[in-house]
Amino acid sequence: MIWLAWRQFRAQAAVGAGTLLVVIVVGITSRWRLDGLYASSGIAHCAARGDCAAKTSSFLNQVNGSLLNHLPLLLGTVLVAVPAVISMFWGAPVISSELDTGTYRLAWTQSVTRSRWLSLKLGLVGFGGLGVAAAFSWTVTWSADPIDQMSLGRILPATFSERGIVPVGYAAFGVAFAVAAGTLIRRPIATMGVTLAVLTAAEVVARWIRPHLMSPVRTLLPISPGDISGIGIHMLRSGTGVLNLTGTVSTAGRWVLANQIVNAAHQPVNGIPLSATGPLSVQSCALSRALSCLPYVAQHGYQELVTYQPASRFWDLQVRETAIFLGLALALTVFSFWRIRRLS
Amino acid sequence: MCKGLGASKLPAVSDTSTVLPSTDDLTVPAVEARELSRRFGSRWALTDCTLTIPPGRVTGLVGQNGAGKTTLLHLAVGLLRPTSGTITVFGQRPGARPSQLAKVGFVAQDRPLYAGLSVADHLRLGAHLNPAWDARLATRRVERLALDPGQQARSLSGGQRAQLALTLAISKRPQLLILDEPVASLDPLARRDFLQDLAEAVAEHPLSVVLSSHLVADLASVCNYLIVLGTGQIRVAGDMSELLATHYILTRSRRQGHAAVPAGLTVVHAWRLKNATKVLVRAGEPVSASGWRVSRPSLDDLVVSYMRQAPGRSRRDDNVLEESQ
Repeated sequence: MIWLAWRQFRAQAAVGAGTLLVVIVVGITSRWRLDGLYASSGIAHCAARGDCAAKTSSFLNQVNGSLLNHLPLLLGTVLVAVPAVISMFWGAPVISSELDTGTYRLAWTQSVTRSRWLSLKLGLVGFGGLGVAAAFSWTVTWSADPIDQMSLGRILPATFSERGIVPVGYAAFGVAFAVAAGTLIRRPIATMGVTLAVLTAAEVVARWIRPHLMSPVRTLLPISPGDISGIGIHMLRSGTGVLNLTGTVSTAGRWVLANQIVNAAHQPVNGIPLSATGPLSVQSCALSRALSCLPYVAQHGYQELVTYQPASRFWDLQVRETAIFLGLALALTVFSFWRIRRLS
Repeated sequence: MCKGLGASKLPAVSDTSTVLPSTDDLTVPAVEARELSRRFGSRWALTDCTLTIPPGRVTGLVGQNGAGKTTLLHLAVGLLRPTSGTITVFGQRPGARPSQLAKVGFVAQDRPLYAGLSVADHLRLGAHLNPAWDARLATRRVERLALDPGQQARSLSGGQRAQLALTLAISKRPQLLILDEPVASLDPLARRDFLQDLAEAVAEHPLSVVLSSHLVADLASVCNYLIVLGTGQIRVAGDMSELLATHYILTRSRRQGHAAVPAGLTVVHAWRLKNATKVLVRAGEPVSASGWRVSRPSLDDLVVSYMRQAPGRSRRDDNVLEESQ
């Protein structure tokens, strides 16, 4: 049976292995380039000279300015599609094409039970798919590491699902779903379509659930010009007004989920009331001098409440999200084995 | 007459239940169905079929398209599960275990093969998936049939597909070979070759065979057991020679007017010709009926009569004539 499973899979496996080889070669050479760039950038000794910000921004400019330096990030973008491609082209046909072409009547009347047939087919395709996703993701994670360390961080939604072990969880879920869906839909093309839709939806839902996988850190910060990215003043007819402050959303090393202005009672406020005269007034906080009125805002007990996931939680979140998808994959696989024995 | 036997000579019921029949025992039926029914959605493809096919027979399963032949065969190989009732093959539930699967060779109706796999690949498939695979037999058959081992299945002709599928099923060395419409899509020459080849294979390796067809002529040459299926029910089943020996055609000219069929005969079917009435009857003993000309039916007469029988009609019905043109 292993022979048949491999014989049916080997062409797809060759395409997968070939693609993976190209990706690994690109990843390794890109990492070498980035290491060279890092060494010549002088970032390693910037702390002593106090020009880290300048060195870092010059390093990132060089990354963004050159396609070759940018390749690890492009590989990461491609990686987003890898679980879907594996699920659609490897997972979906496993049962659906046998049912569609009628060859199940050949395969399931040999001296091999359906359960054994499925365990070997699914074993080969499933672990093959997980292997490709893992190797691809490791290549991206490793080759993009110099960039991730310099930029805002890989915990942010834009990069989180393109790094680490999460792509393996998506691939496991996708393949298991595609196989299970094939037992119900019985047509390869339709199964592929449904697989793509469900996997896309699952990744969207994952992004929505991710902040809640660990309860976020909440920190109160004093209001200071460095943390404020936007100021607005709303004048009222009575001569008073409302000051609207927007906290900085992206902070290096943090995935900021919310940044609110709270009053002395730590309750979020929509705007800070300004009186007609006095320190915290329409006059003193007029737009041209707005920054200078921030100390008065702080004196009134207003603070910034930042809700975030720290960068150190990257792997904790990765493990939790992957575990959820592996659990779903396991449940779908159990369903497939139950279903294939009852197909008739 | 069983009453005459002393009860002491019979084993107690509790004893018989512990004696399990050996599957290689020639007395275990190749196929046994009890009140077997199968429904697809709201349509019943098979209703209350009770049937025993003794081992060692070459059984012809005839019926019109849609009579339930494929359903019955798929139930026998375990591709379908019964909606109600039971079916066993050599005493075991079909498809339940590898050892049971190994006993049954199956060729499905449209001979499914893997389009991208070559003839040689299919033989390798057979060798890897069947512990009792007879590689010499498979190679010999492929050589004799002049199949190119490197040719992909998608480019084989209908006859070649049929032969390759049969080779896979036979080389598995099953005890029961089930063929669903094996010759339906073959031209007359390929059909003759296929049936001859099958007959030779059966002669070479004794095994039970069940093959379905909607053409009676295909069966006469190879079969010695007959099952007629009509609208999901078994119309008649039995040894072909015995069936032919216990059926008679009664013919009466129209000019002679109406006459009842003699009592004690079971009417299978009656049909009216331009100037005569014909009745196919079943009788245990030679028939003499005054006013009727008695003749022997052909296999074709027998099968067609049972196929035309009204659905649900009991064979033990009284002698009411049901006529068709």
